[in-house]
Amino acid sequence: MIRNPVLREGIEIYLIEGHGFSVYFYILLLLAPFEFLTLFLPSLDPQTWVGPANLFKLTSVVTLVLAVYFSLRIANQEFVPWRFLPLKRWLQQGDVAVSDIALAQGALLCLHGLVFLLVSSPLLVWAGAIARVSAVSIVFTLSCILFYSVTYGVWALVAAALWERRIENRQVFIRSFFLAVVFLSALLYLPLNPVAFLLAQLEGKEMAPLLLWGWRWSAPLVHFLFQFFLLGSALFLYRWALRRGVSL
Amino acid sequence: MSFVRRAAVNFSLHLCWALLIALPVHSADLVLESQVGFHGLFQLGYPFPLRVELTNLGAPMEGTLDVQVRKGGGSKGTEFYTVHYQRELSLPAQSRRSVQFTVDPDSVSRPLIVNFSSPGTKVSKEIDLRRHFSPSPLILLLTENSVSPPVPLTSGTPGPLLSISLNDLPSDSRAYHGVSNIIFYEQSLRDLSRSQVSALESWLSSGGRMLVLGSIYYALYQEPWMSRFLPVRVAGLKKLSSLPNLEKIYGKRAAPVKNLLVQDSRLVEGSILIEERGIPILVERSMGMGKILYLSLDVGRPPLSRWEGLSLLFRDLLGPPAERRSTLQTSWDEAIFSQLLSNPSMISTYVPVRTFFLWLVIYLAGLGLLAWLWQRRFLPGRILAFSFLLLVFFSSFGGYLHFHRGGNIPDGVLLSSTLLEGLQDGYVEAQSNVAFFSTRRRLYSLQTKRGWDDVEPIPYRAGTPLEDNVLVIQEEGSSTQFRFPLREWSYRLFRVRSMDRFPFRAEIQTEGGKFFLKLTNLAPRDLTDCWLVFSGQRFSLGDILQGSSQVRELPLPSERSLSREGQPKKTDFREIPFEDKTKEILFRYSLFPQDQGMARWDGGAVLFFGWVKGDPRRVWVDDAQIQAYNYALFRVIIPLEEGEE
Repeated sequence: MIRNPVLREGIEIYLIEGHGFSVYFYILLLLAPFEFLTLFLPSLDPQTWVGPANLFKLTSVVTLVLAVYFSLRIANQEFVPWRFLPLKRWLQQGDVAVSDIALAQGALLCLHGLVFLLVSSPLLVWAGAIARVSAVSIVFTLSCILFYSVTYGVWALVAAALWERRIENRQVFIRSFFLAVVFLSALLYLPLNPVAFLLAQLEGKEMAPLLLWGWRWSAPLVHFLFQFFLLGSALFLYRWALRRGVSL
Repeated sequence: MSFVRRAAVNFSLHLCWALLIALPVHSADLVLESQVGFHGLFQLGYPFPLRVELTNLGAPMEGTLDVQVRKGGGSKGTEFYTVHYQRELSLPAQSRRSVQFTVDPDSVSRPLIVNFSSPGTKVSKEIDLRRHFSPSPLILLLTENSVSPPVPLTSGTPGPLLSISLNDLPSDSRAYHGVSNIIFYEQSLRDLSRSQVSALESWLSSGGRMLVLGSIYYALYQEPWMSRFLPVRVAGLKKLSSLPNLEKIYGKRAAPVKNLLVQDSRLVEGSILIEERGIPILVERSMGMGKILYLSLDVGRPPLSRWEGLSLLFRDLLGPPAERRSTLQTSWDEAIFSQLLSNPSMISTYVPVRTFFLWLVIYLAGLGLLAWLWQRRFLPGRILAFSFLLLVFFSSFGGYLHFHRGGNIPDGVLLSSTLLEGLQDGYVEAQSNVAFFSTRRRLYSLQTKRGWDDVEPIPYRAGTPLEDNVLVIQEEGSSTQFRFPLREWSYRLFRVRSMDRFPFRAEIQTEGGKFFLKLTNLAPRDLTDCWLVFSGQRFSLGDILQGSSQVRELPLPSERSLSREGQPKKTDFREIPFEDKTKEILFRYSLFPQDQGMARWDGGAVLFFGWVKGDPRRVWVDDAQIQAYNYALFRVIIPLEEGEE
């Protein structure tokens, strides 16, 4: 796996040359002041404000949004895009298969997700301890953040494979996709929304089940079915887009 | 029988035996009896005494006696919550124990549940309250005389009259809330306990009425406990041929009373209402909001027992039923507490801002150092990656352990703000608004000095789990303990009322056509940040130290202080500044709520207030992990006479 040239290229650019560090720096730059100010500045509804009580919930939501957003952007190769060899070149050189590219880009995405998580985990863990959240909830939240950033990040890989030369198209697509995930899913059925779902889990609230075709579907089941459907369809599209690149 | 079947039978027998042993002994050895109110009667809507008698016919046992009252609900517009009145008891073998509680149910439609539970024993009893209530307050009569005095209860007097013994007098002042009058006639108070005396005094100061009827056995009235209540010092007996002054008021249509023995006495405190030839006949002594009346005549014996004017006399002596629960003068709700909670000086007590900032700086500095090392290529990539992981691990777990153990913040914050409303004779009605804020999930125990009048938990918001809506009240020596669970970052609000002594005198004096206000602080505390509000104007008086006095001329209303109609302008209390932000919030929103009762101090009265320095705690928690803040404001409103206005 480590010999995979696409993966080596990604690690070289992001971690050895340090072009990925700016992304991690952005996350910290946004997250740290947010968390610090949330701790003592009356916000949201001042009538019911108790800063430390909501610290973990708010920090988790912000981390989730930041992790998903930057996963999409980094997988979309928005940072130093000129440094990456085009997919067509890799495929035409013939020494890299479609599956190798998919594996390498997937692994890179997971690596970024993991680094996002590592960078923000002290802040999240402190917030959890201050808000008296159980260790299980903290681990659950960290896992959710990693899962969502990878699930949605795959869609950026799809965009990158589909419109490799049209960077503006990709940028518009992933931003629209991000907004759709955040807002439209909430309008359609609230438990589909990752932010709403995470908040409900942290507050211990039961979300309304979905009544469909006479069946009662529990909210967590519908949520994860939807997320796996998103991941599955993204992977399917990604594979199709890469194959299309070979045939072109 | 096969081996398997035998084994099954054996197993079943052992299981049954084990279950039999584990079952609690529903003991016939323990008998639980109860008596509601005074001889089975109490006034609806007020607390009442509940005596529980436990007779242990078996082996010694230790356990908890618990009286469970369900309060709140739809009729009160709140969630249901349960109040447990508890007492730990030790019952020796072949013994009887009597325990008195004061219970305050919201409704008589829900039964009281009395439980005694100890390891292996559980006895339970349900008490239906519907058969025990009276809509009007009770009158208690205490006499050792087998023939009770004729107490004619007319329609104007509060009803029912119950004859009780000295032992039946509760030691908790709250148990008397449903009692309007207590009459003593030929009753020795020698056996009265100190707690009973203090409960009676507390009841009197909060509006109770005591009537002491004289008798020919005057020695009973010279006992120390009786002398403590009496407004006179009884010297002996005197014979009077007639009672013209009494007959003038009450005996216009009755035959005159002649030749009767009356108690001879000398006034100690109070005022003489009726006097005959220098002998006080009817004397009144006020005590806070209540009063003590002393009648030197023996109404239980002829000729007075047959006197037609007696019913008129008793109508006045017993008086109309007084309103026992005065309206609350302060506001206390979640909105006010939220303001206090988000006040920066309060935030710093329960939010670990400094330590959080320190951890953040350490972590960011560590990352910065690693970034610098990477840029300078001082260390190989693998060591840097390992160092990064180590930094994340150390920061996460170190910070977690530090903050999880409290992070230099207390487990809870107790805030108590008390309004001492000045009454007559140096008495004050203390209304304490208490907030308990918890930073972690645990059971808390709040304590109040015994003698509290009323504790009202502000109901929880809708949706609070039922297991959190519980309050356990336990009497312990000189204090009462309130135990309740709290979740992390949640709070509970209470209102506590009691009567207290705070001898601060404020009187208006007239001299040469000018009006002066004389303020004398005889209380054991200094008053700081004092203000005087009069006729739309306010004046800062600074501090009034204990033992000192101040005289202030009351200025005539200036043009600026009058409205167009010539009436004094309304005083805006929001303009009065205080250095302490918490005091300011309490003053503006809780102690002087702008939306209610402005008329009380907006004309026709002089208002004086000041903060009490080092006010003795009325509500406290014996726990080093709880940070407590105590604020008290003394306030007195002096109404002006028509001429003074």
